[in-house]
Amino acid sequence: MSNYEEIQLLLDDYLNDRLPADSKEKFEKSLSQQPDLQEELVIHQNLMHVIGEQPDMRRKEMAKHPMMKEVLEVLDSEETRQLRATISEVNEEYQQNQGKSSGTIMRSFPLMAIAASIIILLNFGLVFWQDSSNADLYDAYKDSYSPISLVERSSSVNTSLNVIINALQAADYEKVITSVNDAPELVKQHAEVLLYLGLAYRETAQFDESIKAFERYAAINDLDQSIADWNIGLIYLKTEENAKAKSYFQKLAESTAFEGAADAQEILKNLE
Amino acid sequence: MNEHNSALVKGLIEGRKEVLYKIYEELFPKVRKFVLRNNGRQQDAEDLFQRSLLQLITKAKVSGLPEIKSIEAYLFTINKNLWRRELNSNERVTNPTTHEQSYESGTDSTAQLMATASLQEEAVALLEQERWELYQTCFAQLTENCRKVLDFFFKKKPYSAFNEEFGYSSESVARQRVFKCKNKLSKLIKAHGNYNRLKNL
Repeated sequence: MSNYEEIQLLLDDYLNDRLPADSKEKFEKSLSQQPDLQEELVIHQNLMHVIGEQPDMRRKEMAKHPMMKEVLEVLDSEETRQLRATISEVNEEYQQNQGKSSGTIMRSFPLMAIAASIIILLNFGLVFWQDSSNADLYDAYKDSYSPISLVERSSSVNTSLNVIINALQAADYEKVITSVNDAPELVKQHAEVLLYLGLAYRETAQFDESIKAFERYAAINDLDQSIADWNIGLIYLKTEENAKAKSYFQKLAESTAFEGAADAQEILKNLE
Repeated sequence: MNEHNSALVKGLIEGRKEVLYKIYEELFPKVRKFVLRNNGRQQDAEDLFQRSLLQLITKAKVSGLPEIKSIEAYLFTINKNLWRRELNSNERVTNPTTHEQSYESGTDSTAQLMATASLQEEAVALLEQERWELYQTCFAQLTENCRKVLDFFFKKKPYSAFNEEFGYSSESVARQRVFKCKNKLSKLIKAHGNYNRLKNL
């Protein structure tokens, strides 16, 4: 074994507390006398942290480093204070605009050529759920879900359907509910209005009715069971009924057909 | 650095609002998603992102502009490191602005101490980032085999795993390989232009 190898072995054993007491004492004596060895020790400690992802053994030493003074002076300067304030202002402005922008996007959907996603449409409300502990989880997934496009609508689109979509885009949920419930024939022709109905009920906090609407949609359109399950799962997230939410996302996570299976898995992970 | 990145970094350092906003638009959603998926909340993501911007600005003032290809990728790495640091630490570091505001209004006598402690933590985090970059840059210069060998070693995989992965005939062969790669890495670190400045970090 070379000298370098021996030293490295000792370093690793020393840092991992594997040296017997007498060897440790001997090693520490050598360490105090050899700056080169001290340098190797620091590098080894840092590699254990940077590559080995182990706790940082050098953290306490950082505060004593000559660069600290310089960094602290910059951080504590008037110029930095102003920058902090500017960054904070921009953050506030950005976060506020994020809340507003969802509504703007929604209103700008072209009515006659909707190639938009039902899922995205249904999830716009999530932005406003800032008061529950699951709210952030919803928000994290609203943009990551791959949209399922609606069929392109021609200008001859059913007028009653137009009214409902218009109401939905205007966030007039009561009108959506009334219009769908007053037009049972429309449901037979356009099952997706039940998704709109589910959204409207959800946005007006009528969760039981919302779930029923999504379940009705799945019963008519069994190919889209996953869409219904996703949205029912979201309702349970919103109402903080995590056990129920988990059962829906579990099913979706295991689905090979549902393109949001990976997202369902992530939601489950966050609910653990 | 391309023109787009160069303009963003320059604008960031100058504290230009429109540039900061652009950076928010391009990067904050990714950082937010990362934080939320790693046991954080919206407020954590906002605090973290603000600290990362300030860290980059401070770094540029103290050490000059870093060699980066993409400001987005660079800032995202800073955010990841800050968040990892946060998760490994028992106490959360909040934005010192909050403490400073209390201090300036004279309502809280402990606020000054807290603000100082926060500044200290920010400074340490910056130095940690500098050190991390130096070590990672050197590590990236090793061969793929050496990187993998050292990854196994520092993640404390048993030597039997080395033999299985790399086909070494014995523990002694594996150990020799580890120390050869470690020696190479150690030399690269010591020869790095920033080493003397960051020595003993």
